[in-house]
Amino acid sequence: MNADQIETTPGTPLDRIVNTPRNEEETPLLSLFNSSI
Amino acid sequence: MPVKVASFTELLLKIASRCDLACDYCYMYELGDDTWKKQPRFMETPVIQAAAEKTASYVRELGLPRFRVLLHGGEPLLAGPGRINNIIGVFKETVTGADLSFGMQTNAVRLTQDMFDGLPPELSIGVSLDGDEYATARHRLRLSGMSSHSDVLWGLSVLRRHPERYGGVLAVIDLRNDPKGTYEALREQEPPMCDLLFPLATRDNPPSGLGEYGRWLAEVFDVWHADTDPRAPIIRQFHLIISRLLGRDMRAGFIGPDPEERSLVIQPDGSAELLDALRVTGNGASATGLSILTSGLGEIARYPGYTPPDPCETCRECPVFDVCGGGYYPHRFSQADGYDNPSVYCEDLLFLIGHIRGKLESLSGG
Repeated sequence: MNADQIETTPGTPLDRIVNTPRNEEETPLLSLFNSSI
Repeated sequence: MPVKVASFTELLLKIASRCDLACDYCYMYELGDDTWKKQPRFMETPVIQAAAEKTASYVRELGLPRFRVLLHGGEPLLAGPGRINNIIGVFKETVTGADLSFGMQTNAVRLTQDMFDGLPPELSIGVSLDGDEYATARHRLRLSGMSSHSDVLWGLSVLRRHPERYGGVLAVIDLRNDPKGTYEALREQEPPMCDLLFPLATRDNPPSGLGEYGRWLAEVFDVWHADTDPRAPIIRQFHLIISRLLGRDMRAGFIGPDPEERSLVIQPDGSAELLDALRVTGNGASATGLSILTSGLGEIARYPGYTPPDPCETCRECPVFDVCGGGYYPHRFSQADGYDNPSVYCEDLLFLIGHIRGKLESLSGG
């Protein structure tokens, strides 16, 4: 599946994910909860 | 076969062994492991010093550019700002070879403005919240049996005034909660990121409603993906599944192959432990017999349990394995076969991944 072909509504979280360049997608927050409940 | 050795990029410090809530699903206190009773109430000074010194050596030996320290419990705010500042101060002073980041996962019951002002400014804070007041009252109770909801909302109001310190919220799914209502209740708290977790379970102790969790999450997905409210958070499971469907190598233990980065859990007495959630598999299941007082991170990393077990053959042959990766490995456990099983949530993962794939295909005209 190609991100360029997916039409998203600007401003939605889906848009932010699909159109985030690969080298920017990993954020420190992503791992904040790795081991938690 | 070569021995796999874990590589730690994160310490998860259990700075307090007790909690001021009595959540009925908590792996620390409610799921069959009572080893916390033998722990000191707060992480001891020699343990903090040893953890910092051994992290410094490890970072230097491996040339790690970054390292993360997460404060956890029990309830870490029970330790108070003085102890928390001390811990972070010791690490900042001792670990000089890498960029350090600091996080804390709290129930936020004690997160008043005064408490917040007393905490180190480097600390990013995540909060556990299951949804609206009804969702919270089902599980996240005070020791008195009263719901913690109003106090948690107060704590979250403090964090909303400091978005640069706000890590996100973490919710455990309860099928009795309305998915749309749960999403909206979480969004109201304006977290940058949400986690919606399956309840901890094994194949020997499956939750009721298996197969419904995927549909519940799919309902949340449908509300979330079209949400144009600027407060709409990133939901980690969806982020992971979408990213992997797009061919991006994102992984976090729940979705996708096991991440190469691992956490080392240190108990208040210095014991080095495996993944916390393994407590669901039995009393003492996360114990290693090692201690940060006597072992360095490199030695601890060689303990076999720090390398997650390989997914089973059924998973490896599954058409969605590239996305799912076999799921969270504690969910694969059974007494009969260890971790050589598909996740107890396999049907739910299949449904959710198929649902998201279908949505992305419809948006791409495919």
